[in-house]
Amino acid sequence: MLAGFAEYDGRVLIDGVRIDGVPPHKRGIGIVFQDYALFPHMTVEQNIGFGLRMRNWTASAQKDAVERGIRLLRLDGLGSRYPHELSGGQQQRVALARAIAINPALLLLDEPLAALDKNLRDDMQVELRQLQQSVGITTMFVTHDQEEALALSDKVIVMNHGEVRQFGTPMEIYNSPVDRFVADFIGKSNIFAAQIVAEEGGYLVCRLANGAVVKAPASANAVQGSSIYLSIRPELLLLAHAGRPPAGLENRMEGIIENVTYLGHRSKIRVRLNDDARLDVNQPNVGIGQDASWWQIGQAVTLSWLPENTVVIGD
Amino acid sequence: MGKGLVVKALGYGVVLCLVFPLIVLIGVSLNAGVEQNFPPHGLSLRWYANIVNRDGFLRAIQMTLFLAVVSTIWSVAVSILVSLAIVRYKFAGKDLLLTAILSPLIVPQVVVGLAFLMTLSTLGIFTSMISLILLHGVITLPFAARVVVSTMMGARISLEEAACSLGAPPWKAFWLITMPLIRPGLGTAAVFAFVTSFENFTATQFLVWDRTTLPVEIYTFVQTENDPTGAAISSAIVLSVCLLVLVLNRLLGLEALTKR
Repeated sequence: MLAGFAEYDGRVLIDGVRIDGVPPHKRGIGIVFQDYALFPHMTVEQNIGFGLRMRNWTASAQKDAVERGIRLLRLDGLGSRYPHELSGGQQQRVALARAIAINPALLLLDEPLAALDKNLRDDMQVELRQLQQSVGITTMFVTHDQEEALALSDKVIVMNHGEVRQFGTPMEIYNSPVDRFVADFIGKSNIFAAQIVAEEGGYLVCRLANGAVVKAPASANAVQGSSIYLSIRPELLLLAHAGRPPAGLENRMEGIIENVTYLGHRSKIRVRLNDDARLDVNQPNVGIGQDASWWQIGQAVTLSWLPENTVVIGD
Repeated sequence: MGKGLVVKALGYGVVLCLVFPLIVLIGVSLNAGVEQNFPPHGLSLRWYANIVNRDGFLRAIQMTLFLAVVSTIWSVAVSILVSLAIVRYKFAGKDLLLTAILSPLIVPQVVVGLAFLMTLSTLGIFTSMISLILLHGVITLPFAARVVVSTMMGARISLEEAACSLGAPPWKAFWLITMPLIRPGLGTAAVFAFVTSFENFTATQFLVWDRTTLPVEIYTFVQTENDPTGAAISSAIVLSVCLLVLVLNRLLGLEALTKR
């Protein structure tokens, strides 16, 4: 739609100018396709220079720009290779160099990291972010990887079934999700239905379906008696032996460990509450005062967390 | 080891069956006398010289080459358009179109020839030039289209889109990106179309009113005459094909011809 390859309703503006009637080849949008779409019969240099050739640049200007692109993306020495002679990461850098070479008004990256293995993907994320900031081109990055979205963006748009759910900085999206979809989609969340029973000392006192009473930060539009949802991030919960929660964490719930998944630096623990609801807890395995050995299936535990870490969401 | 031997024997057997008749043919064409003996009695090239003496052969060669060239250009060009439609677009009757184009592969040549004969005579067209161009256009198309369609499937649309996003107008994107990618397929398609037209006998023989083609002419000759000229011209074809394959192999590589 942005690139002009699909039919759509509505309006697309770049720098305040409508581009809806403009055919793809006149839009000047640099695109990195999911499969990179490198021209297999052209060398790296010819690929990077293609857009400039289409713009009828002089041979020497093309050559200079191609060399700049090669240096910028550290493709030195690969200029006369063909795409099939490159690794996945190199192919991707060529695709990026090709898209940047035309000095686009907008850079569109369509899940460019999806085809790479995890380590390479992490490296490329860092590289992409640095590159994007150094060339200063507005970049639209499409991804299904939530962590990637948070790591790479200044602003995130969360979409579900073609509908925009939230628009904001990564921190806003993560810390103050507007609805249950966003709360659960960007990082896992434990979500409870609750009812506001009172308001005291800047906190909402809420009763959960299982009878537990917890506190949440007061919010402007929360009316006493109304039904709301509370979201608690798994990593903000603290796991303790039953009845021995640390002081200071006011919100508490009792449960039994149902499952423990060991992940090296942390463990994912699923706790069954007294009303059979499940709750996910992320605990670091190593750390000051941390002892992971007692987390066993069937163990009775008390979960506690700070009222400030409870997020109130409307629906 | 026993198994390897059997496979080898089978392989050589097949090659022998293919090659031996050709050796006999070439042998016969070299006879010094009028009899068609193998091994030849005496060696001479007089029957090759005799090809030129017979006006019918020369005119038939002309006609055959002309038909082959025209139907090759036609079917390759149409194949490009058809494969673009089939691979790149969605439309009703897509499968039907492909089936219709490929149908001459399945319908017996005799039926195709007879159908053309009846249709054209109903229309009052009794000119071989027109009839044969139409016929060969139809029978060569499936061979070309099959190759080009499968090649086109390998040329991803995202490549053209990438070219467009970089500033290439659609026709330029097609010409600079897709065309080079399907070129090997076009070469293969051209060879198939050319050979199909060149060697067609069964359907062609129904439509030889005022002009004839080489395969039909050879057949007619063998039925009426009894000297090795027929063998000579057939051998000449075999030798030219060998030469052609050598040249094509040099230009395209044999893999390009054998892979679909």
